[in-house]
Amino acid sequence: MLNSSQLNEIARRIRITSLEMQHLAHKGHLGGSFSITEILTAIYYSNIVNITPENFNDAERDRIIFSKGHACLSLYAVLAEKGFFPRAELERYGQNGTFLGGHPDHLIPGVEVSSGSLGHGLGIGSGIALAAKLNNKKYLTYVILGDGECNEGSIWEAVIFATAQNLHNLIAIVDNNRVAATSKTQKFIGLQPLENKWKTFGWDTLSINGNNISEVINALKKSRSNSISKKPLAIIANTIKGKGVPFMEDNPKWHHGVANDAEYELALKELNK
Amino acid sequence: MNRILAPKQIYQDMRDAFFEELFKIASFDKDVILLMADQGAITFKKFEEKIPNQFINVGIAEQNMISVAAGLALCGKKVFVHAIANFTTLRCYEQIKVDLSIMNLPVTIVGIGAGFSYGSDGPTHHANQDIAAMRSIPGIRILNASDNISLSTFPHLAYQFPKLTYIRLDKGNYPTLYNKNHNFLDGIREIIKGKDIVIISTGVMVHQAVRIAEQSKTKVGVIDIYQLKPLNEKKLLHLLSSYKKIVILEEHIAYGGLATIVADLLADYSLGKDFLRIGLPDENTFIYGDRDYMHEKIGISNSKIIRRIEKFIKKLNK
Repeated sequence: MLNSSQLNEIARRIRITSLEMQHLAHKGHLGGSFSITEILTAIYYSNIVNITPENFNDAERDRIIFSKGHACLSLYAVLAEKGFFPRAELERYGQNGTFLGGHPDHLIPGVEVSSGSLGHGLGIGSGIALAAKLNNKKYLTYVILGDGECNEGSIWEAVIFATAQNLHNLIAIVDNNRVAATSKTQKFIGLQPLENKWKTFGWDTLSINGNNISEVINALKKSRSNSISKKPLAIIANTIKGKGVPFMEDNPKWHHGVANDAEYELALKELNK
Repeated sequence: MNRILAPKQIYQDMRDAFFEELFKIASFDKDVILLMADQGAITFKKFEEKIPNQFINVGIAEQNMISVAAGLALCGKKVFVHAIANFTTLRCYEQIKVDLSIMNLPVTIVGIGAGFSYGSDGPTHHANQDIAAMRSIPGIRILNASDNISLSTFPHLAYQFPKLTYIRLDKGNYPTLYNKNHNFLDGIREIIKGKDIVIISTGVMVHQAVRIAEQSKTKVGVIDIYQLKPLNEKKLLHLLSSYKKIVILEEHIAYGGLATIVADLLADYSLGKDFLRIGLPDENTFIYGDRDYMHEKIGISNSKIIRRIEKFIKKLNK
C-alpha cells in the first residue's frame, strides 16, 4: 500500500489535473473537486475499497455512488489516472463531442450512476445495498454527498429507509465543506453539526478531517469492519472547499468560479509548492 | 410473432386483477420486488406472508421509493413500485427522469387512482395530468387499463418485455371488453366498429364511450387505446382510415393527454379529420361527490357528451 506522502502526492497531482481541465474548458466546479480530493484518493488508491477498471463489471465489486456530481473534475482525473478511460479524454472535457460532461453520467467507464441533480445518490445507494443483502453479496456501497446536498429532503427519506432496513453495508461520506454555491451553508440552512443528525436518525457516525489522507483511510478501514453493526455508517468528512489553493479556500466564489489566466498561474504555483 | 395474451383467471376487482397476477410472477421469480409507499391492496397480505423478502413498505416517501427501485434495478432486480397515481408520478417526477429514464432502468411504476377514481378526495388526489407529465419522460411505456382482463395482463407484459413503464390503475369492477385472443402488444383495440364517426378513449372512460355508441342512432365506433406510449401508430392509422370524424373522450385535462396524443398523430401524418376533444377543463376541480355527479357537473356525463357530439356533427354538416 502507498504511504501517506505518496498518497498526498497523488492528491496534489489530481488537483493540478482538475485545475488544468477547468482552464482548458473554461468551466467546472473546482471548489468541491478540491474538497473531496483526499476522499477520492483514499478510495481509489489505498486498496481498501474494491474497485478497479478490471473488476468494474464484477457483481462483487464495491460501489461508489458519486452523488455530488458537480464535483466531477477530480473524479474524472482519478478515473483516467486509474485507467478507466484514456487520459487524453481529460483534455477534451467540456469540448464538443467529449463523453465527460459537466456532471457525470452512467455511460462513463467507472461511473455507477448518473448524477448532477442533488439528493438522488443515497436512495439509489440504499437500493444497491439492499440488493446486496437480498443477493447475499458482500460488497459495500459508498455514497459521496455534499453537506449542501443534505438540504434535499430526499436525502433524509433515504437516511430513515437505510436505518429501517438495517443497511450496515451502506456508507455515506459527507464532504462537509460548509460552503454552497452562493454562501456558507450555515448562513441559510444551518444544518451543522451534521454528525448529531445522522446519529439521531439511527446511523453509526465518524467525524474526521476529510482532507487528511490518513484519517480518511482509517475511516474506510472502519467501514469494512462495520458489518458487525446493523447500522449504516455516516463518515462526516470535515473539509475545506477549494482546499490546496489558499485564495480559493472556504470561498463560495470558487464553487463554480472559473480561474482567469493569472488566477490559474497563481493556483498552479500554490499547488506546486 | 410476439404475443401477450390474458391470463386464465377472471377477477372482480381491478386491484386484484393486477396484484394477484404480479404475485404469481413474483412467486416463481425471486428477483421480482414490489415496493409500495404505504398504499394497501388485499393481495399484499400474500406478499407479506409468502414472499416477505420481495415486498417492502418504504414508508410515505415516494421520491426515495423511486431511487431505491433504481438501485435494486441496477443490481438486476425486476422492480414494481406502487402508490397513489399522483404521488408516484408527479411527486417524484425528477427521480423518474434522473434515476430511471436517464439510466434506462426497466422499473414498473404502478399508480392507483386514475382520473377521478378518488374524486371525492379532492384535487390533490385527482390523477388528471399524469399522462401529460409521464408522456414527456423519454423512453417510457404508458399503459392504462379499461377492464380487469387488460389489467391482469399488464404485469405479464411489463415482466416479459422489460422497459420503464407507468401503469395506471382504476378501482372497482367494470364490464369485460377483452377476450382471451387479444394480443396485448397491440396497444389498441377497436371495441365497436362504426361508420364515419369514432370515439377514441382510454381507461374506464372507454365504458362511457361504449354506452354512448350503443345509445346513438348512428353507427358510432369505439377505439380503446390502452397503451398510450409508445403509440401503435400503424394500427391506429389503419383503424382511422375508415372514419372522418374523431371524438376523444378522457378523464384527463383535455390538452396533454389522449387528445394530444391522437392530434399529434393526425398532424404528423397530415390527416385532415374532424376532431372534437372532450376532457377536463384547464382548472383544478373542487367538486365533491361520486364519479357520475362529478361528470355531470363538469359536462362529461353521458347525456352531455351526446349533446356535444350532436352539436359537433351538426356544425360540420352546416
